[in-house]
Amino acid sequence: MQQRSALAHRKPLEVDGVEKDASPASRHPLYWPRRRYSSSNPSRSLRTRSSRDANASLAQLLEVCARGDEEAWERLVGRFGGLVWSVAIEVGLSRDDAADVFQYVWMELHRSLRRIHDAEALPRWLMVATRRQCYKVAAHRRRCGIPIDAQIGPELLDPKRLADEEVLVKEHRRRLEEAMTRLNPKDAELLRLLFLDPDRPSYEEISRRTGLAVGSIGPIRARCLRRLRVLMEESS
Amino acid sequence: MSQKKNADHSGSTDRVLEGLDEQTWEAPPEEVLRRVRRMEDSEVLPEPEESLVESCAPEDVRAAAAAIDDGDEVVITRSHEDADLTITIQPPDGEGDWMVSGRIWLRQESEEPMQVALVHETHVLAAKRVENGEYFEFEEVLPRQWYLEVHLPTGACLRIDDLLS
Repeated sequence: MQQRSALAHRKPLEVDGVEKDASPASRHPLYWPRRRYSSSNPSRSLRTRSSRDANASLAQLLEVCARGDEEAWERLVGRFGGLVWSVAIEVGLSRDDAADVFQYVWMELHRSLRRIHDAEALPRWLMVATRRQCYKVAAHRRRCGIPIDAQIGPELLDPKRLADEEVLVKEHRRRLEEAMTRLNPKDAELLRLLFLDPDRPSYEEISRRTGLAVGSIGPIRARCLRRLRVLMEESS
Repeated sequence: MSQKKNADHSGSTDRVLEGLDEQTWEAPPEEVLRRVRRMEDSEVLPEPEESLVESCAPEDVRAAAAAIDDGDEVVITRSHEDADLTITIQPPDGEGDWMVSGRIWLRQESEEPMQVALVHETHVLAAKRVENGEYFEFEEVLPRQWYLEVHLPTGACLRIDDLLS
């Protein structure tokens, strides 16, 4: 996170091999303390992540997909398949039509992989592609006189609509940060371990640190996210 | 499950939001997912290096909107040192697909096919492999500022960006 690099000169406290920074940044709800690595092990040092790492890893995933790696492609589909499907369903398409749209969108992404340089823009890219395909399917059905329940018109292609959504995303992010400060400390700790720890701990490691049974981490994670969502909704 | 590394976890707000989104998004049915896990019928289209891209129109008319009414078909011909092109464009009458079709003749014979693609920003909306002089046709919903890319067997790319906006 940016706060960490800005405060890197401060002498940290060390607890269990993890630096505990007493700076104001450490009180940020999404702060994760920097783990100290030996400079003699550069590969491990490289795993110390910055705020751009999520996008960097997605950029790498896109790059590997463009080289034809099927496993990477499956990961990409697994990660964003829900987004594409949900957009198609939300605009009102039937599940059969949504399935066609789903296939078109991933074909379009596959063809376009070498052109997407901004990984952060991928969700928006997928939404644009999905909406255009939804419009195409709806228009085709209407032209052929096939009834369609959804009221899908050209407004679906309006870039302003997406711009408005970007504002909402920013607001969503602000509410998330605020909700994290109000979350039960145990829940917040688990979410930090699951989502923010640069060392990507395994479930066994999380179990060791938190005392939770490995098998219970998944369900507790889901409950924590639900509670976080409730707090976010309250703050809206 | 117990061996599973939390592979995508990294330090950003977006990761928590993704966790929330995963709960919000509806997962597609397995048979729908299965269809896109292998992209055997699709090909990653290269992004042409700028030095290999040549436009078929002088700079002052690039991306200029040709006056065209809904449903009216227009035929555009272009000549380039590597190829001659004839493109027919029919915008939708009201809503729906544009029809873009044509043929491209290489000045120099080649065994290798060309790739023709409809592109908008970073979206390759459709792409086809065509032989020298072979007819191609696209039916697509096209946003403004789309253009046609022709990837020549030499690796060079012709961008026909003065078609319509």
